[in-house]
This record gives sequence, C-alpha cells and structure tokens, in this order.
Amino acid sequence: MGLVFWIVLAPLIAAVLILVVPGLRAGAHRALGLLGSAAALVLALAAWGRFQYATSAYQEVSRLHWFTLPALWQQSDLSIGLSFGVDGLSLPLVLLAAFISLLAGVAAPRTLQRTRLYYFWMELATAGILGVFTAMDLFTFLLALELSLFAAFFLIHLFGEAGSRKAAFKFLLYRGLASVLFLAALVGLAYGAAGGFGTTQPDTQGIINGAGALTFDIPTLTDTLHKASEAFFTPHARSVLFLILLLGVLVEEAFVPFHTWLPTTHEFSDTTTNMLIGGVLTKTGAYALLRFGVGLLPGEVRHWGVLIAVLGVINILYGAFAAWAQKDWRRLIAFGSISHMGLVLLGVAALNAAGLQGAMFMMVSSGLLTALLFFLTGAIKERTQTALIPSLGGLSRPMPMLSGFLLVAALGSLGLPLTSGFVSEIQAFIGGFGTYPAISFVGVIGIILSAVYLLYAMEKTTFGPARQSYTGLADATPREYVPTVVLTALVLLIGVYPSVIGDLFGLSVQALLRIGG
Amino acid sequence: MFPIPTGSLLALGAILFCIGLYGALTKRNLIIVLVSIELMLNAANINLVTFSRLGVGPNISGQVFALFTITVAAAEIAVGLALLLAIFRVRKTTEVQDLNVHKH
Amino acid sequence: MVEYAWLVPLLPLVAYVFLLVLGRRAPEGIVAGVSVVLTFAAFLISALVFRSVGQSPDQTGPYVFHWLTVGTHSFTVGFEVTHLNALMLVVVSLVSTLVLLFSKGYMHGDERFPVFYQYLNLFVFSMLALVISPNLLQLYIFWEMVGLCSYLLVGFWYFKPEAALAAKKSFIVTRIGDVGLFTGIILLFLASGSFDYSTVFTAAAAHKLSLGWISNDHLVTLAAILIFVGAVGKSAQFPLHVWLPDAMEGPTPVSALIHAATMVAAGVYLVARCYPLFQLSPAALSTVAWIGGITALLAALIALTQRDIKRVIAYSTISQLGYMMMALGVGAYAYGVFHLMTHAFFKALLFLAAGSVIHALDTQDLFEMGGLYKKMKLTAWTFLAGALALAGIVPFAGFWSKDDILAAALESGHTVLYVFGLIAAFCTAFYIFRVYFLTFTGQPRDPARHEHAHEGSWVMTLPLVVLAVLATIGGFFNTPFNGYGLERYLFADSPQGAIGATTPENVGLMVLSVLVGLAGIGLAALMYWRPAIQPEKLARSLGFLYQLSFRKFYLDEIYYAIVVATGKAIAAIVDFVDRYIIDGIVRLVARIVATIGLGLKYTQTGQIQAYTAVAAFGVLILVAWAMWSIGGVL
Repeated sequence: MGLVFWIVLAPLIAAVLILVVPGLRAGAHRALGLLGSAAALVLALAAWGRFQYATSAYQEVSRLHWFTLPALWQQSDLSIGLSFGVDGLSLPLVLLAAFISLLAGVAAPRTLQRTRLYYFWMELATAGILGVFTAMDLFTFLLALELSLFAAFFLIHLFGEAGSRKAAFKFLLYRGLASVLFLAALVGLAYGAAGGFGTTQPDTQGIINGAGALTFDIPTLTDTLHKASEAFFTPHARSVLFLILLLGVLVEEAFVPFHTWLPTTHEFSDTTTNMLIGGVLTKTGAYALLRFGVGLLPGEVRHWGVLIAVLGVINILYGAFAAWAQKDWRRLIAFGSISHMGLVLLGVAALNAAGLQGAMFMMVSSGLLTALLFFLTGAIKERTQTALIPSLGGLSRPMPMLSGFLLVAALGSLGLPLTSGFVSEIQAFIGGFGTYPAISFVGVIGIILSAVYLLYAMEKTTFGPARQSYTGLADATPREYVPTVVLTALVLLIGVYPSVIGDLFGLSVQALLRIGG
Repeated sequence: MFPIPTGSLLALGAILFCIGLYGALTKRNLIIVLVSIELMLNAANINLVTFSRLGVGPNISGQVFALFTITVAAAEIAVGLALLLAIFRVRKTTEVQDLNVHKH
Repeated sequence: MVEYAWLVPLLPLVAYVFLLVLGRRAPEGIVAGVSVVLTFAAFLISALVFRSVGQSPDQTGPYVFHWLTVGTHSFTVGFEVTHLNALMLVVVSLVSTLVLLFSKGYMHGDERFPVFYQYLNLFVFSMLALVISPNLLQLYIFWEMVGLCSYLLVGFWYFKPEAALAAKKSFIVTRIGDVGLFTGIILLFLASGSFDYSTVFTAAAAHKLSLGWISNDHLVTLAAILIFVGAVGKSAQFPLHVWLPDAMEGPTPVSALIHAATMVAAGVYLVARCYPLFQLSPAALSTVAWIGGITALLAALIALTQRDIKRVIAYSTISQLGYMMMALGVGAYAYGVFHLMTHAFFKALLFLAAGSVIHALDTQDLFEMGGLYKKMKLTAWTFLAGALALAGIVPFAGFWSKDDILAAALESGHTVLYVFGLIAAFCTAFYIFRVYFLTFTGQPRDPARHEHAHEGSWVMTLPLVVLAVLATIGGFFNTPFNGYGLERYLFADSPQGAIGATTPENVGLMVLSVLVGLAGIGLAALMYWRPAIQPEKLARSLGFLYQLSFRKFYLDEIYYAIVVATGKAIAAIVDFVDRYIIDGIVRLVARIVATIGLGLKYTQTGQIQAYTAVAAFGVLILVAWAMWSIGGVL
C-alpha cells in the first residue's frame, strides 16, 4: 500500500481503537487521538519529503478494489473501490489538515468530559477530511466527504455550547445538500465522460467510442475530458452539470447567500471543533471547485467566469461588511473566512496561473489563520468567559503574549506582507486583474475593509484601559503555546518564503491550465 | 376428464384473496387477521397450481412451489401465534385497535 | 562596497531578533546599547555605500534571488543601490541612530522599554529594506511593514484609548492609500511582466505598457496616479492626511523618526523612485504638484492655531511633505529629494526638542509651558536652529531646499502653486515661532510643572546637538558653493528632462522668501514674545476663519460623517440582511418543512390495518397502471 493510504488509515485506526478498547482513561483517549493525528502528520511530511516536483500526476498511489458493477452502461463495468494519492494540489491541503488536526487535539482542554466520544469523532473527521483531499476517485471522494460531515456533526452537537443542537442540524442539512449536489454533478460527469450525453459532432465519434468506459477514476476522467470536453456533452448538459457543481461548492464553502450555517456553527461550537471546521472543513468546497470545476469542466469555468468573479467579489465585500458589524469574535472570524474564500472564487474565475495559485495559497493561508484566530479567541474566552468584543478590553496587560499572537493572527488575516495572507492576496488579485480588471477594482476595497473590521476588533479587545475583572488573568500556558507558536510560525514561514508550498502548486496549476487551454 | 377452465380457477383465487384481504383489513381480533392472511396465501397457492399447467413447457414445479408455500405458511402462523401470545401476556388484549403504540 | 549594502537593513534586523530573544525583562542599558551600536554600524556602511556609488556608478545591482514562481514568472527579492536610495540609506540610518539614542533617556523607566526598542528596530529594518528594494513588490512588502511598525508604535501606550484609536486610524487611512499602490503595481506587473523598476520603466519609455482594456498612455497615467495614491496615504497628503496628527499619541521619539523623518517621507521617496514613470504622464505629474501644493497650504493654515506642541509640528510635517510633492510634481526632482533630506534633519530635531520639553514638563499643551529658556538652554538653542531651518532663513538647511522648490514652481509656470508655497512659508515661520515663544520665552504658565523641569542626560542632548548642526549646515550639500553637489549626484540616476542643475539662482526670489519668513517670525514675536497684539482678540475678530483652522477645516468630522458613518451603516444593513432576510428565508423554509411534517404526522394512526389498506390501495393503482400501459384490459 502506498504512503497516502496510511495517512488516511492512521486516524481511522486510532478512532477504532479509542472506541473498542475497553477501560481506557481520559488520558489514554487523548493519547490515542493525538497519536493518530501525529502519525498522519508524520506520514504527510514523509510524502512531502518524497514528493516528485517534476510531475503533475498523482503520486504515492494506492488502489483498493471493492466490487464491480457489471455492464452498467454499454457493456462497460464500473469498478467501485477506494483509491488514494496526492498531487501538488492536494498535498499542501493534506499537510494543512494533518497539522490542524494534531494542533486542535493538543488544544482541547484537559477538563473535557466524554473524551472517548470526543477523540473518536475527531479522528473520524480527520480521516474523512484527509480522505477528501487524497481521493483519487469520485466514490472515495464522496464517501470521505460524508464521513467528515457526520463526524463534524457529532462534534458540534455533543461538545458545543448550549444551543449547539440547532447549529449542528443546520450544518448537517447544508453540507448534506452540498454532498447531494456533488453526487449529482460528479456522477453526471462520469456518465457523460462515458458518452452518456451523446454529441452531435460527427468528427468526435471515434473518441467517444474509444472512451466509452464508465469510470470514477479522477485522473482518467481528467484525461478524457481534457482531450475533448466539448465532445462528450451538449452545451446544455455541460452548463447544467457545471452549475450543479458550482451550487454544491457555494453551499459547501458557505458562500453568500448559502453561508448562514457557518457563523451559526462557529458561534456554538467549542474551540477545537471550530479550529477543525474553520481550518480545513471549509476548504473542501474550494478544493472541489479546483479539482472538478477547473479540472473537468474548464470550458465552463471560463464561460461562467464573470458570474464566479462577481460572486467572489460579493463574498469579499459582504463578508467584510458583515464581519464589521459582528459583536462576537467567532462570528467575526466566520465572516472573515467567508471574505477570504471570496478571493478564492475570484482567483479561480481568473483561470490563469496567478489566480489559481493564489486561490490555493488562500485556502492554506485562510485555514491556518482561521484556526489560529479561533484558538486564541477560545483561549481568551476560557479566561474571560466571553467572546463578545464589547465586553473585552485592555487584555494586553494581563495577557501580553496571547494578545500579541492575536494581533499577529489578525494582521495575517488582513493580508499584511510577510504573512501567508499577503502572498495569497496578491496572487489572487494579479490573477483577477489579469482577467477581470473591472470586477477586481471593486474587490480591492475588501483589503481596506479587512483592516477595518480586524483592527476595530483588536482595538476593543487588547487595547484600552485594563478592566478590573480581568486583571488577575493568566497568560498563555505551555499547552497553549504549542498550537499558537506552530500556527504562527507556519503563517510567517509561508509569508516570508512562499516557495515552500508554492513549488508544490506550480506544476499542478500548469497542468490545470493546460486543460483550460 | 373435463378440465376446469383456467378463468374459473383464477377467479376462485381472486375471490379467495379478496375475502382474505377484507378480513385482514377489517377484523378486530388478531387471530382472525392471521386466519385471513392464511386465506390470501392459499389464494396465491391456487394461482401457482393453475399457472403450472400453462405455458410453453407445463410441469409440476408450480405445484411443488405451492407445497413450499404451505410449509412456509405453517411456520409463519406458528411464529405469528407465538407473537400473539407474547403480546397478549403484556397487553392483555388481542384487539388490533389497541395495538397503536406507533401513533404520532 | 555596494554588494555589501544588504548589511544595512540586516543589522537592525539582527538587533530586533536579539531583543526578541532577550525578552521583555531585558535591562535597559543592554537593549539600548545593542540597538544604537548596530544601527550606527548600519549608518557607517551606508556612508561607505553612498561614497562608493558616487565613485563607481555601474555596480549598483540589482542583486536578487528567487522568492516565488507564479506561472512562468519568477518573483524575486534582493537589493539594489541607486544614487537616490544610497542617500536615503544614509539619512534613515543616521536619524535612526540618533532617535534610538534619544529614546534611551526619553523612555527610561517605561515597563515595556525593551518592547519599544524591538518595535523601533523592526521599523528601522523595514524602512531600510524598503529603500533598498530592487522591485515594486518588495517595496510594497516593506511599505506595509513600516505601516505596521507605525501602528504598533502609535499604539505603544495601548491602555490609552486615544492611542488605540489613533493607531487604528493611522493604519486604516494609510491602507486606503496602500490599496492604490497595490493596484498600481499589479497593473504594471500585468503590463510589463515584471515588478522590477528598470523593466517597468523601460517598457513604459518604449510605449509597450498596455493591457487588453487600456492603452499605454492611459495605463501609465493610471498606474502613476494609483502609485501616487499610495504616496498620499503614507506621506499624509490631502485628503488622506488626517491620520498623522492623531499619530502624535505615540511616544515622541516615534514621532520624530517615523512621523517626521523617515516613514512619512517614504511616499516622497516612492514618487521619486518611480519618477521615470511620472515623467511620461503630464497628468500624473500635475496631480502630484497640485495635491502637494494644496497640502502644503492647508496644513500650514491648520498649524497656526493648534494648542498641542506635537500637533503643530505634525501639521508642519504634512505641510513640508506637501512642498516635496509639489517639487516632484513641477519637475524639480532633485529639490524634492533635497528637501526630504534637510527636512529629515530639522524636523527630527524639532520633534526631539519638543520631546525633551514634554519629558521635562509632562504636558503637550503650549499654554501650560513658557519660560523654559532659563532651565533648558540647550534645548532652546537647538529648537531655535530647527525653527530657523523650518522657517527658511538664510543660511539654515531649510532655506536652500525650500527656496529651490519655490523657484522651480515659478519657473515651471505654476504661479498659483508658487503663491500657495509662499503663503505656506509665511504661515510656517509664524507657527513655529509661535511654538518657540510660547515654550521658551515669557513667564511659566504652570509653575508647578516648571519647577521640576530640567535638561535630559547626554543621551538626549547629544542627538539634539548633532541634528542642530545638520539643520544648520545641511543645506550646503546643494548650493552654488559646492557646485550643486547633491543634484549632480542624484542626476546620475535619471538625467532626462527634470528641472535641476541648470536652474540659475534667482536672488530676487531668495530675498523675497526670506522676507516672508522674517515677516512670519516678526508677527509671532509681536503676538507671543513682546505682546503688542492680543492673540485672543485676533482670534475673536477672525471668528469663523479661526475656527476653520482650529477645527482642522472640519475634515475629521466630514470624513466621519461621510466615510465612517456610511461604512457602519452598510455594515449594519448587511448584518440585518444576513440575520433577518437571508437567514430568515432559511428559517422560513425550515419552518414550512416542519409545518408540513406536523400536518402529515396525523396520518400515522398507529393502526396497522389502516396502513395495510393504504398499501393495498397503492398496489391496486400500480397494477392498474401496469395493465393500462401494457395496453391490455383497461
């Protein structure tokens, strides 16, 4: 089995062990959970070390055949099974997911109750997310997506604050809807790639007859559609499939106006779950857009480019304005994340190297920063018992380190150079201005707005006279330094030397663009 | 031997099935309901036997199938009566209308 | 020597990292000592670089290495030394060294003393790295970094709400400008395929800068103006000048270093660095000139009536930066840079001297000062040198540079701007001597404060003396007496077309501007030194005009009403839409589904026979449908 297979399996094994081994104490649950995530991280780092930069193909491939549906379509068998692999697009996200899962595990408070369930669901969610990013066929992708969905549902439901039940169901319904849309669009694409939608162009008949095998294999699909994406679909079918996919992405990624689950979810979840959801779970939709939208239907991305770019700018501005009005740090971060991901849409719509690479950078950067912000505000809330911005103030005095890191996170989030935020922003905007200058001109206002809402929140949180009730509060503990320092270091590392992950993206982005023509 | 017309046999089966259905849907006592279900099964048996005579290659497999059905019906009624007894012990009733724990 | 220029920004970075490792409890002596020594070393290297660039101008770089690959483009970072930035390196590192030394005395006893030095070192590093950048991308990176340091240092006394507000305001207002710069460099990159100055300027000169939607000429104008918008924000030009006076909430050494000598001059530096681009667009140049002229006048008028010593000097900074922009705009490239240099000296001096006063009296209100000459002779004399330089009196530094600018404005045909400049010069002389007389002469207005006032230790006085010397003789770098040395040095960079070395000195204009300056000083003396005119009476008789100046032309209020209130309103509307309309629709859908469910639950009677009946009926329908579709019985 390839390395990547074990990346997904490690947290899964940990989850099963946590559940079935009887008589474990809370500490053992925690240790097993951390071990699972740590193993995934070590393996992901190993995969990075062995990564072949000279190819854009999937690496470390492992395929598990499960069963075959015989003669499903025109005497073509459909093979169902699990297959995993990484390429330049997925490896950075795998690393991100493994890092954040481990750090979220470390960040979980010692006082936690029901640790068995907690770490079980967490490892399951981790396995699901890792599976989404490493999936090499549609079946694996959808299966892993479902796994991450219900694992996260239980994390929100069981461990959130009072009122988390509603938030959990909102989350489940929205993301479930997104899964259904993905299912419809992806199966439709596979069906189409096998010639299911026919075509009127006689000169491409040969290709269709040759490619008439039904398959869920992503590289094969990409290759098939790459050759002649127009040949397999009528324009109408192409557009419908793409719009279904796009709708799925919008719901999955919490884009306006399908975003209201995200602030609600974050408001009612505990810190660790927030890190996991904000850090990685909200990157799956954008990943799907790149992998399947740009990868399989590049012509449609170009065709609907204006729509996507406008949606992106709407998200940038709407998220920023909404964040400005928030009183709760967690809702503010959620809207900030929506604003960030709007930039991903703009970059993807641009369909050039800078735009796509900026989108990838933004996914990683937003993941790191969102997780860091959630962790720090969570740590503050543990002490002050509130995450409401007007109730805070003057925290620099009792907790200078936490305040300092919060400032770094906020600055990264507003795109200050030498943090990962800036690298993402400038590439995405270079891409955006390259293709849609007028739309991008509106979008850059978001850069001002992000400074407005983040610095407003900072001013009310860490600046100002120290409140009497907060004077005796302790600064960061060693347990808290681990996630804080690691996440901050990653943000700065990418900001100072972006080639660290930029080189991973390079060839894959080129490959996507070749497909895009 | 004067063969009974297929239509008559099928009509008998249909009538038997309808009586059974009527009983299963309307009778209040669970025992009567079980008996009615037996009637429906036997209606099916008559059809099996009837159709075994027809077709390209008439053979006795339909009749064999009917025998199977009778066996299964016997087993089923045994289970059904056992369940009935168990229900009676708990609820002190065999009236169908009283067994409505699944009501909204 | 030039190939070692990277050491200049590196040394302050080393100091920063060192202090970061030492932590927040490090002893003051070590902290300040390390910072001053390393920055002074950076100054020495800068001086060597400056000399060697003058001697062998062909070894200037750029020295770059790979940073990030985007598609087929490679983004690089590195350094490059030109005549312009060699001069900037010297100025920045010199003023930084002096301010770092001064802060040792000024910040003594502050519980976050090491943090203050960390921030200052980070700033010095960022500023030097900005200056030495070989391309627009790196410039932008450090452009934002100096903004960050400014934010941190303005908000250094974070527990003061005004400081927190001012820090936020300074960052956001400059960010409005930064977005312009950001957009500008992206457009230039897209059009030329590179961020490198030389590539961009070559392409622009060859009329090859064009995108699908915009022609070369329009793009050059657009990009130049967008870059200028960035400069407007950073250099506090009208209409984005409002952050600089508020930024005076920061400690005074910060005001001297960041908000007078270096960071705010970065905007002027940027325009100067991109001068080949501006020269290709008359529209952009004239925008620069007019914005500069308006700013120079407007800020000088506001400075007339302010009560806070630091705010007067802050408005003075804005006004002087306006002069520099005006110089660049009318084509007098070298004079703009010359004024940048002299201004760095005398304005840092004025701020540090003011800091010395504030340190002694613990107040910034001019009307709580007075009579300090007796107690602080050295501060008074050095302040006087700075004030004379600012007022443009022969032979102090400011005279030479300001006079050159005014002459260039007149010569290039911008008569209105010349008049603006002359009025501003009169106001300048008046307001700075108003400060001088109110602070150092007359009787103490607050005897309790006055009693404890005393001169600072040598760390505070030495920088004052050095800067006073520079403010006195700094002008001679570019006078007829040395054959316009600075101009010739600078024009090695971009010789084509700018007004400069050829301009003959116009003695008449010189005399006029000195007379205007003297008139301003005289009026100030009559009002505040040997009171012949009652200032209050004058203020009352001027009524509205006085209020206009005192209230800063109500620009803060207007901006608040237009920009901030609108933004907040939009945010509130978006929040409302989000909570009650979008989420409302979501909740409505959920409610409808739930209601339907509630209704349908009554079909669940729990009666098995009812369910069976429905099922049987369903089978009947299916059978009927099957028969019908086969086309048989029914």
